[in-house]
Amino acid sequence: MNDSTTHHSPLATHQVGVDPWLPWPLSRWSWWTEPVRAERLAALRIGFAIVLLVDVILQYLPNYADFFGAVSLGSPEVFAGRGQGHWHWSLLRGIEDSRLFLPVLLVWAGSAVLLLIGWWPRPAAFVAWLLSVSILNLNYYLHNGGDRIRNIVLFYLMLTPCGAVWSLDSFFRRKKVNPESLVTHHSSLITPSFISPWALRLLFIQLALIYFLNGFYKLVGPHWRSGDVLQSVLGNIQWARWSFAELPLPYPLVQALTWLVLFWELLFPLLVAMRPFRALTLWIGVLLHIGLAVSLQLGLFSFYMLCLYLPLVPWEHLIDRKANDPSLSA
Amino acid sequence: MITRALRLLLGLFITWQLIFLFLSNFLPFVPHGREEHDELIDDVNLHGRVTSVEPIQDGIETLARITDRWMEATGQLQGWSLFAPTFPPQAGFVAVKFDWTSGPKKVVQSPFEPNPLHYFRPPGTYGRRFNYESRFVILPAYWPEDRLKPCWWPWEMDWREAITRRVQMQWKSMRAYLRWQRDRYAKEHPPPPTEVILTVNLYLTPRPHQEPWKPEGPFMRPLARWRPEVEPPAGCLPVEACTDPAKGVFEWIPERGEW
Repeated sequence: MNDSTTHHSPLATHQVGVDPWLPWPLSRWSWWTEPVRAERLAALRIGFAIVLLVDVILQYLPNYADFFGAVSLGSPEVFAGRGQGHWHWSLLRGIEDSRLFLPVLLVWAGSAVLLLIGWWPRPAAFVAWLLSVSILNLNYYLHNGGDRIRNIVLFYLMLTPCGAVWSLDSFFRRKKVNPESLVTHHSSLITPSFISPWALRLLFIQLALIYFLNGFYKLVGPHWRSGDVLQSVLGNIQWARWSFAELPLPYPLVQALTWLVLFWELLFPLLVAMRPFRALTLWIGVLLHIGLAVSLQLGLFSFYMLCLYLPLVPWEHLIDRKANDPSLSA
Repeated sequence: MITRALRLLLGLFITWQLIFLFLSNFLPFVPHGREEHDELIDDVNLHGRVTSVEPIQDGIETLARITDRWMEATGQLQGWSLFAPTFPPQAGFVAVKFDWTSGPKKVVQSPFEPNPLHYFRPPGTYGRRFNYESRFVILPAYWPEDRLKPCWWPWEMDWREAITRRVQMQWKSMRAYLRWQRDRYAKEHPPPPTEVILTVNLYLTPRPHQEPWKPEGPFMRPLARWRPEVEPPAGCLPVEACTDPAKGVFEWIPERGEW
């Protein structure tokens, strides 16, 4: 899975963050050892922060008193059992006054803003992760698979130099080192920043596992194998955004889509490992998630999933092309 | 020195994460542990034993315990099976029926319940409540009205057994939901009702090629009843299960089932 687009130039480069010691065979595998451009992680940080901000502001804040506190849907006794015999923790467990959740959610939204602009992004990711896990365990039924991805991404963001570029932190750092550099020659582009790829690789493996496991469970289902399920899903008035009666799809198309989803998920790890199929496989994933977001009531699941694709975009090509294009530079 | 230690620590962490990701996603296929009796936790583990050889089973249990604790501590919950392996043949929407000792009953429907032939739900701020209510629908959505026995569900049990187990698991969230609905209603229409029934309105999704395309329903399926002023018998839950939906029979059920 070497990717030439992520290789760094021996010319003036700058690696940010800790370069891990890796055991064999990882240490011999350039996919794990070759630094990647920091823009890839920054793109994940920014895209994810936008989705998180929308999530907190639109999904939690308007209804916080209904969701949290005594005699609410998440009354402390309801999910207290999650902590018994398990390590499902919540910093907010036991809070009965629902009014206290307003400042909590505002802090959460604030941490998403800091993550977005890249000002103290790792502490911001840490705070966001603390609250994300706490909120999920406090009222588990409010959540779905997208929120699990939310926790996972935050966990990695707080451990990585996600503010190395495209952040206020990097802006201030450059300003401190060389005030001139901010106004001349796109200096940050001439000396690009690199990071160790470990977090992006682990997130990619997580993505592949999500799809493979989904595909495996689907393969077990007889209605998935017969190609019926998407007809049932799109016709299910609980999950579909619009009535199938008003916008029916031809059955052969729905059946083909069912099989596409099944085999695409199941074969994702294999297809994405083969260079000729990689781009197509990823594009199918993007389109499927857009399709899911448009047609089904899955909250922000698709958007959190799409964030996992952001580090796969060759942002450095776009930026370097822009920097090397005299007409754009001017 | 500190840098070397940091590099080593980070490397060990990455290695463990890699192992963890595979263990946490594939150990569920190896039978271990026991089924949980608390609120739904989306447990995808196969329960029981994979072998009668104690050291091997103990090793699997230990590995699963370590993996689970790390998953819980770091919030990296796994278990991925969207709409799989089966998808319910029915759509369901929660409705709450209020009753007073005298006077007419009142039913409050879920805001998500549409006209099956004509609706559009734009994205909004309601997604979280939708998720919450969906948790009460999972069981009945698999039980079509014409046959109150297992449909596509792999368990061999009847409705009475299934609803009893479900209420034993979900009685706390059911009561929280019913109490929340009662309080909301009573705020604008006092006095508070003396009896609150959790019901699911079911719509059978048309099969492929079925003409005309029209979901059958709604079929009202009572699940549980909460009577705030009635003390449950000793050892029983404060929420009663509807063991016979056709006749509307509710029964007190023991706190913990012998499954």
